[in-house]
Amino acid sequence: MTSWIASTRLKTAVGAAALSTGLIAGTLVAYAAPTVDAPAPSFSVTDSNGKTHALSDYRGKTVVLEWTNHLCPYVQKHYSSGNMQKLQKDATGKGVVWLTVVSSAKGTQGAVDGEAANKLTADREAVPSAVLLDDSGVVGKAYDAKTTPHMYVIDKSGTLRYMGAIDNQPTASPTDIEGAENYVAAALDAVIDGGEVAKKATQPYGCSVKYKS
Amino acid sequence: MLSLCSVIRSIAGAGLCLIFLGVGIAAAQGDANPKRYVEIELIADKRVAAPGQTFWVALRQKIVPGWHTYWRNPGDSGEPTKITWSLPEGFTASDIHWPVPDAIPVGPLLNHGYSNEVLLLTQITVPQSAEGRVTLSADSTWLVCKEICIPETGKASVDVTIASPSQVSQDAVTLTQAVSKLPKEAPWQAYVSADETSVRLTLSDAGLDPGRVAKLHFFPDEWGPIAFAAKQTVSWDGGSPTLVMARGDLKDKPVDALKGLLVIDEDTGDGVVRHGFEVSAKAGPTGGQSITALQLAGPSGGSGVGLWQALVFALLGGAILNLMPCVFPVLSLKALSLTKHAAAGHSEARRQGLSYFAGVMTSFAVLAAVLLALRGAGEALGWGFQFQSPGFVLAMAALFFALGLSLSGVFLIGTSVTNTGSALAAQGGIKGSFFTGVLASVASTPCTAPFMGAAMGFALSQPAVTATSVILVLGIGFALPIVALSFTPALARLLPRPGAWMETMKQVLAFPLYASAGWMVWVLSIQAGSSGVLAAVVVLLAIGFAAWLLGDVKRATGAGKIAAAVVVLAAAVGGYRLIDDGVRAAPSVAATGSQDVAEPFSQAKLDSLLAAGRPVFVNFTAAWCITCKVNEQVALSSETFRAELKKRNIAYLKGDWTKQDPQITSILERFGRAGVPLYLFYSGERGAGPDVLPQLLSEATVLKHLAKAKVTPEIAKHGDQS
Repeated sequence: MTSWIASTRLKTAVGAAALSTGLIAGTLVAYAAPTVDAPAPSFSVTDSNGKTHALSDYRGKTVVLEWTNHLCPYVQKHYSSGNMQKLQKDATGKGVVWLTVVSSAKGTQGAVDGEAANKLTADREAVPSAVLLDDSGVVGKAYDAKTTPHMYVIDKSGTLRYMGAIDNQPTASPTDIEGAENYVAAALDAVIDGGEVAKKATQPYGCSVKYKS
Repeated sequence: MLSLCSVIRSIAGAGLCLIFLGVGIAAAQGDANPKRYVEIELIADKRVAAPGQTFWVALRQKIVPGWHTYWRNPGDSGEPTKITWSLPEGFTASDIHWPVPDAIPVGPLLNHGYSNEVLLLTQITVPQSAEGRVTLSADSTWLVCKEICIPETGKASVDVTIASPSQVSQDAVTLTQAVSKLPKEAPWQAYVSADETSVRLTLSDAGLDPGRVAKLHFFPDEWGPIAFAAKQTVSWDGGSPTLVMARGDLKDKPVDALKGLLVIDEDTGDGVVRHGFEVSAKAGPTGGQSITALQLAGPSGGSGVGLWQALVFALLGGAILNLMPCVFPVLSLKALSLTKHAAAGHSEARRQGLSYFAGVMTSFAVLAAVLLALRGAGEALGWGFQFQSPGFVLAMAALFFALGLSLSGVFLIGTSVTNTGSALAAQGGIKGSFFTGVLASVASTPCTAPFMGAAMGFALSQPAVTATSVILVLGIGFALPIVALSFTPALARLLPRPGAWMETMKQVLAFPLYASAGWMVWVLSIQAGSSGVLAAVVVLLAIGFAAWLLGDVKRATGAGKIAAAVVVLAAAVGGYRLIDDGVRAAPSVAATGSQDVAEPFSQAKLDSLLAAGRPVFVNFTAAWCITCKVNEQVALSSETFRAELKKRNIAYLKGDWTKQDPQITSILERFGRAGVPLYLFYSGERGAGPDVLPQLLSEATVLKHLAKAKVTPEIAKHGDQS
């Protein structure tokens, strides 16, 4: 009994300390931005052919999200040079699902309907798995997509593994592509090999995403 | 182009020539006739620059209204302007000195940049060997955006003659003004701390006047630690602001330093003046640190305790309350009766358990509501329930200490309340169980009050949702053992018997409270310095004395209670004043501590100097006046200024209005000013009134006025060397 009391005393003292600790502790409401190494925000949105895509459809596959606006000079840098198309080809060749997302609201720069989106894909010989039309900006805001381009890599378990810029040359000049460190290619290699992504989050660069508000 | 340049030069007769060769890439928009959104030119502050001299040039961007170009960190999107210089042999150019940017919202994003017109300043250094006319050319690229973005490029140049002596150009005034508005090094130490969701930046001992600060915005140099577009909130601890900003996307890197530009819009009473301060914050105590505090216990510089952790602690804490001596006997009885009911049938025991639970939760909900109402009322009265406020921290230290003393048995809280509820609880059945719940949670205050008090104190500093959740979960924890018993009466066998151990435990529990009080005093030592600690000692001593007066039954007469109340009240007032002085004292030391040549102002001193025919420069300033500090840095601390004072035998008086000296107030009123800064220059001519200098000084303005000083006999003797 005595030892029980002694241990209770100890436990209660510890517990009391824990109580004051817990009460002192500050708390803040969770912030809504996506976090690397946490589950990627889910979405369900139609593509340029009217087909619905949900992130959960791609459980078991690595997914790339690419925010785009074909009239943005920073996007043009990567398409006119063939850089983005090459990245898409390499990725999809390895079984990666590449989703190009257009979050430009209707009437803003880069807004396209399904037909225009398909024509753009054909004209610039792009090879995304699908072009998602997010003119409401719901998907963009869920991912806190800020710029075009803004890139995200999600692994087979649905965990966000990379978000940020396409490379380390934040300019609109295609001549800066050669020799640039491509963050997306590096992240994809790491995710496909089951390794750790070296740079998990980088500063995205480009034009602002043309949200409705 | 060059011939056009010579034509301009011959017409204007100036040594400046501007070449403009812009090439837009607006064609990217599919526009056959590219429209340009930015026009550039290059200007220099010298027409003739001397060998070895450093002078200013600026790339002026005239931006189409509604569009903007970017600061060194463009924000959520965009790209800063770049300049590539083509300079003659041996000339060097500095990096761009970026003027204070605007925060430009673009939908849900934020850009940092410039609208309408901006001068991007660069310092050019002339080599000793240079001579003759030279051309400085700048190749520049920039991004200009409204909703859409267009990269543009352009080339501009300016001609300067290298010879001695140097001569200013027609643009010198424009450039001098632009240079004077460049960000300054912040004169305050800045500290940063961060948790998972927020980053706090505190200007330590800034001594600012919150009433004069219309707006604060921090522009970080780098992406990562801070979410640019999230709202930045300011809280004040005396004159020290703390900016609370949302944590940015780079979460795996600790925020142990933070660099950027702090922009303060100061309401001078005669309009708003914008100041930019380069801030380099290191990890340290911030106004918010005490809230996220238990970083002390957590990984270094890491995250604070999250809401769910606080709730787990609250649950645990609530359960521990059951073991308190005034609660436990009640519960033992309840447990016994539950065991009896168990024999009658499980459903009855469960119903009783649930109604006990309802009783406890009702009490705790009422408590939370009362607490929030009190806080609302207090805030309406202007009380700050934040750990940034030294008064609140002192009150918390006092509360913990008093509650600790109560647990130690020096005095008891609310013994009379305990008995009132007993009758109600003695009733049987569901109603009795409900009131047992109420009784257990409220009427057992002598033992629970210390912990409930602690919980309420901390809840006061939390957002309403957090405060309510913590208190309700505390209630759940409190009710849990009995509810568990009612569902599984067999557990009753595991309960310890009531006994002397309960009293011992109560006394042990006083120590975490003393520890918390000590910790509060430590926080106070950071916020209000040694006088804060002194204040805490005075208040805690008084509380100890008052508790002793109250505690001994023989002394706890009406007179004893009144005496105790008086002691505590007097100590509280004394403590508050000490803290107040402490908070005020620090900045005024800083204000007078600089190595300047000024003598303290007094009307008598001024009168005697004027009577002697001395020219006098008077500077009325205050530690919390940002404009004053900036002026002192820009125009009143240079070697040139001091040399000029000495050369012209000008007396320099400085009136410190930090504590609102009535003598200075009357002078300010005489010159129609509601506040500082006020700069007066008496030329020394008998009977002549002073020149009133503008509120924003440049060195040139000051020197121009000083030049009007009457030549005093002493100077005439040595000859004016100007």
